[in-house]
Amino acid sequence: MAELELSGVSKTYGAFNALKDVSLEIADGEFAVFVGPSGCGKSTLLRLIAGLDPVSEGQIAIGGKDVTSRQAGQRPIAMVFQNYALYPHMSVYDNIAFPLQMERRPKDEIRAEVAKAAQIVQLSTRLQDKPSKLSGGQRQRVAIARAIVRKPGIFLMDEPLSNLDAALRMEMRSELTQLHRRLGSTMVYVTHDQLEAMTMADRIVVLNGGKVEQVGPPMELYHNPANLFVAGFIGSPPMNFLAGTVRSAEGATVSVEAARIGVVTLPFSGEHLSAGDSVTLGIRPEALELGAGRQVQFSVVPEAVERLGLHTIVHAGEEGRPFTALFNGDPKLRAGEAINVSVDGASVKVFDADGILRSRRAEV
Amino acid sequence: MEKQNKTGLNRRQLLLGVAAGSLTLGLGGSIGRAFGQDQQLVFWSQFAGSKRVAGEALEAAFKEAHPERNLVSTLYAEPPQLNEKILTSINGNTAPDLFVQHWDYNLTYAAADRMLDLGEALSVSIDDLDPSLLAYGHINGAQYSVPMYGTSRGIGFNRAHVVEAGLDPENPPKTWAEFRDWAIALTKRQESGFLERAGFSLFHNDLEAWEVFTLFLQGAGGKLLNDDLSAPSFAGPEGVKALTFLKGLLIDDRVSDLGFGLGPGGLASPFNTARAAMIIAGNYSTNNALRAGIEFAVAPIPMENGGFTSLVDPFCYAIPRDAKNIEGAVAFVEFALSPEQQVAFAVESKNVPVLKSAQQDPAVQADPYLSKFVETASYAPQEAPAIPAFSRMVTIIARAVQEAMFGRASVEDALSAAAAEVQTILDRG
Amino acid sequence: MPSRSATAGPFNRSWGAYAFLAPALLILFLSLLLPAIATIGMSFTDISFLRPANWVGLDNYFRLMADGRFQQAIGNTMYYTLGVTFPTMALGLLAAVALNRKFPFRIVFRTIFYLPVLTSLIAAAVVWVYLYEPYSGPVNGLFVSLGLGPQPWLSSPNLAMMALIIMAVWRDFGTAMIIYLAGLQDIPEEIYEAARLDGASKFSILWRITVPMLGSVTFYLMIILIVQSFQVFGAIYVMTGGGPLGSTETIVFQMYQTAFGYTEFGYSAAMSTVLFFVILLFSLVGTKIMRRGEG
Repeated sequence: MAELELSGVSKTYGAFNALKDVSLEIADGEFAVFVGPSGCGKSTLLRLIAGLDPVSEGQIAIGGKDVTSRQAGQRPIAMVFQNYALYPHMSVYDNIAFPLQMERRPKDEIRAEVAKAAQIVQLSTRLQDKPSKLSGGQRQRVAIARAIVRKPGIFLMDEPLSNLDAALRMEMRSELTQLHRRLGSTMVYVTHDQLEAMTMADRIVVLNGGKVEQVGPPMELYHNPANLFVAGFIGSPPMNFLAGTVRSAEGATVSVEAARIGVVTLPFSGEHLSAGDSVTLGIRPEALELGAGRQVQFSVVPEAVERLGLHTIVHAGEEGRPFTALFNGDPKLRAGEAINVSVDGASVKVFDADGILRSRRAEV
Repeated sequence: MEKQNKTGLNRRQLLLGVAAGSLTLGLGGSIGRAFGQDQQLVFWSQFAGSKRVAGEALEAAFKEAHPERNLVSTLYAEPPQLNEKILTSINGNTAPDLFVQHWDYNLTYAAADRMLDLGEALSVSIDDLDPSLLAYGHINGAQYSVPMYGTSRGIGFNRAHVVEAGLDPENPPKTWAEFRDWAIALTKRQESGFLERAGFSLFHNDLEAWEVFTLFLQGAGGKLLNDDLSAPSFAGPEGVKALTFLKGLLIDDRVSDLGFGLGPGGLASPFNTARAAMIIAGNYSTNNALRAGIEFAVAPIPMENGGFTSLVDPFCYAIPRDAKNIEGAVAFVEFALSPEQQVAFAVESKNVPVLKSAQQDPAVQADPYLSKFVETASYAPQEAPAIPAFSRMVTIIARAVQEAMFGRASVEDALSAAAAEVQTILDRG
Repeated sequence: MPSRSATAGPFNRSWGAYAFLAPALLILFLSLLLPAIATIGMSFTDISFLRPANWVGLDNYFRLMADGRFQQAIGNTMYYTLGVTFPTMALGLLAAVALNRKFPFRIVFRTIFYLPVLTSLIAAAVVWVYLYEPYSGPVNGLFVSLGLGPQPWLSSPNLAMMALIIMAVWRDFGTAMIIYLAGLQDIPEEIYEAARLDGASKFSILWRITVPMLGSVTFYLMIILIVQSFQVFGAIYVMTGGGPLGSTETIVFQMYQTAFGYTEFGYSAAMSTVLFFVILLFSLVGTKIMRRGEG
C-alpha cells in the first residue's frame, strides 16, 4: 500500500522529449489509468515509475520515500506486461514463485504464497504446466499472480489486456476491478483504450505528446474535458465539433453563431470570451435528441444508420467533418432523409481558440 | 494408399535410383581416366624443400636429353602426402610410372608385391652404388627400390661454443667418455638452474629419439634387428648400455632438459638458435644452420670405445609393377644415376650421392659439409633394418626411449616391452 | 481425399519436391553414406589397399579391445573433448552476454573474439607453437613475470594436452559466442525486465533466465563441439605429432597413422567405426539429458 508522487519528471532520448515536466500524485489504494494515443509517453512514464529506465529530471516517490535512484527490483512495485513476459522455461508455479525465490524466502512460505496467489487468479490446477500450454487469458493471470505474490505497494500494468480478444477483455476488466477492490493496493494502469480507462479508473490521467492534459475521475473528464484533446479522446463515439464565432458574451449567457446550427444562446458565463472570438462547439452524440424538444434545434441528413438495438448511431458528416448522433432505441430513420435533432444549450461545450473549455459546468 | 505405389515412384525407389546413378557415375569416371596417357612418363616427385632446386634441374636435364619421353611430374611437399596419393592410386589403378620417396614407404609397397624388381630392370651395375644405401631398397631378395641419394648422420656442433668452452674443434670426441666430457663442458646453466644452452640436445621428435638411440646402440656394438630381420635385438645389453648412457647424460649430467626443444624444428630449433651446442646432424641440417648464422661443424659419431658409427637415410626410386610406361621410367632412373646427374644433384642439394664414383668426385669433395657427410656415411652399417613395419618400429622405440627418459619405466623394462611389441608386428608380417 | 496429408500423398503429386531433392541426395549418398558404409564394411577385413583383402570378422575389434595404445587414445580424446567443450561453451556464453549489451565498439570486440575462428588452423597452430616455446615464448614470459615458473607446455606429457585444449578453446569460443549471440536475440527484452522487477540479481538473471532459455542453443553447441573435438587432428599433427609419449595421440590421429603410416586400413576402419558409435552415443545421451531438462 503506497501513494505515488511524481514531481517534475522528464525523460529525453537524445533530442526527443518523451516526457515533459510531469507532476502527479496518486493516492494510496487508487486505481489510476494513464490513457492517450500511441507515442503519448504513457508507457515511458510507467517504465520510469518501475525503475526500468532512469528519469532525466525530476523525482519519484513511493510511500513518501524518494525512489528515483533505486533499481527496479528495489522499488515496492510489481508490473504486468503487455506480452505477459512469463519465463517460458519455468512452470506456472516457478513463474509465480520466482520473485519470492529471489528474496530467498523459506520454501514453505513460498509454497503457501504461491498457492494463495494461484487461487486468487483461479489457476490452482495448472501450477505444473508450462506457460506454453495455457491460453492467453490464463497467461495473463499467471503474470498477475506473479505480481500479487510480491505484495507490492503499487501494481503497474502495461496494456495488460491488449492481446486478448474482445469477450475475454471484458471479463478480465471486471476481474481486475474486483482484484483491485480485494487487494486494496494502488494500481497504475496504462492503456490506449478510453473504454478501459472509463470503466476501471478511479482517476484517469490523459497524456498527449509527453504532457499531462487532464487528471480526474472518469465522469469529470466526460462532462468537463479540460480541452479539445480530452474532449475528443474521452467518449465513444467521439464528441462532435462545430466551428463558430462569438456574437456576444454578456452576463450569464453567450451567443454563438456556428455552422449547421446557426445562432444559439448558451447558458454560461462569458467572462473569458468576447464578441468576434473564434470558438469550437462540442456536442456529444448521445446529448442529441430526435425532434425539436430541446433548446438548440437543427437538421441533419444521415449518410449511414447503424442500428445496435439498444441504440442507433447516425453518421451525418459534412464537408469531410464527421458528425454523429446517438439515439436510444430503434427510431425509424433512413439514410438520405433529413431529420430534426435538438440538444440542451447546457450540454453544448464551448472551447476557445486555444482549445480550452470555457463552458464549465459546476454540477457533476 | 495402394494406388500411390502403382502410379509413381515411392521414396525407396527414388533412393535406389540415386544410388545406382552414383555408381554409374563412378564407373564412368574410371573408364574415362584410362584414355589418353599412353605417351607420357608420369613421375611423382618428393624432391621438395632443400632438394627442390636439384630435382628441378634433374628433370630439366632429362627433358632436354629425352624430349620424346614426355615427362610429366608432380611435386609433393611431404613424404606422408605422397604416400597417401600412392596408396590410393595403386588401389585405384592410377599409379604413376615412377616415383621417388623416403625409403620405408617403398618397402611397404614392395612387400605387397606391387613394385618392379629394379635389380633386373635397370642396366646400371649395382656394384657401382653405395651398398649401405642400397640395403634400404632390398626386400624379399630383390632390389625393389633404388636410392637417388642418402643423408648421413654425424655430430653437428657449434664451433663458437666449442672454442668458448676451451675445447679443440679440430679434435672432436673419439669415445663416449670424451663425448660426455664435451657435452658437460658445453652445457650452460644459470644459477637458478635455468638451461641457457644444452651441451647436447638429444632429440626433438620421435624420429630423432629413435635415431639417437640407434646410433648409440650401434656405438655399443648392437643392432636393431637380428641378421635375418626376423627378431628385434635392440633390447639386449648393448641397447640397455646405450639408453642408460643417454639417460645419464640427461638426468645425471644435465646436459639438456627433459623435453628440451621438443616440437617442430626448422630455423627455431635449439641448435639453430644457439641454444644447443651439439645435436645429431644430417645433410639437411647444413643449410638451416648456416642460414641461422651458426658456425656449423660436423664430426663423426664416436662409438663407446673408439671408432665411429652412423646411419644413412636414402630417398629411393620405385616403379609400380603395373606402370604403363616402364621403359620410360627405367630410362629416367638410369639417367638420374649417371655420374653427371649424381654429382650435380649432390652438389646442389648437399646430399650424399648413391653412385660411389660421384661420392669421390672433386666437385662433391670440394664442399666442406658435403664431403664431411660423405665421410660419415662410410661409417654406416652395410645392412639396413629394411622391414615394411619400419615406421611402426620407430614409433615403438621412440616411445620406449622417452618412457625411460621421463622415468615412466626403467631402461630395461621400456626396451623389453618395446622389443615384445616389435616382435608381435614382425610375426604378423 | 481431403484427409490425406501432404506427407502421405502419392509421389507424383510431390515429384517436383523430389526432383529438387535428388541432386542433394546424390551428393550426400556419394560423399557421406557410401564412404560410411564402406568404412564399416572395411572394418571386418584386413584391407591394406596393397594386398588382396581377407574377411576377418570381428578380429579387428577384438584386437582393439586389447590394444593399450588405442585405449590411451580414447582416454586422450575424452580428456580433450571434455576439456574443450565445456570451457568453450562457458566462455562463449560469457562473451555473448557481455557483447549483447549496447556499448561503444562492441562490434569491434565481437570481431576480435571471432577472428580466431577465421584463421587457418595450421597457421594458428604454428603461432601457438611459438607462444608455447618454453624458453623464449610469450606464454612462459607471462608466467615468469607473474612469478610462476616456466612450464614445458608442449614437451611435457602432463601438460601437452592441456596446451592443445587451451588453443582449441581460444579458436572455438568465437563460434560459441556467435551462436549464443543469435540465441540471445531470441529472448525478449521484457523477460529480462520482468526478472529485474522481480528483484533478480545479474547473476540470477544469467543463471535462472538466460542460461535455461538458451538450453536448445547450448545443446546444439555441445553436440557440434563434441563431434568436432572427437575428430581433432590438424592441431595435433602440427603441434605435437601425438607426443610426447603419446599423451596427445587421439583416436583420429591414431586412425591416420594406422591407415597411412602402417597401411592397416581394415584396423583403422574399425577404429573409425568405434569412434562413430562413441559420437552417436554421446549425441543420444545428450538428447536424452536435454529432453529430461525440458520435461
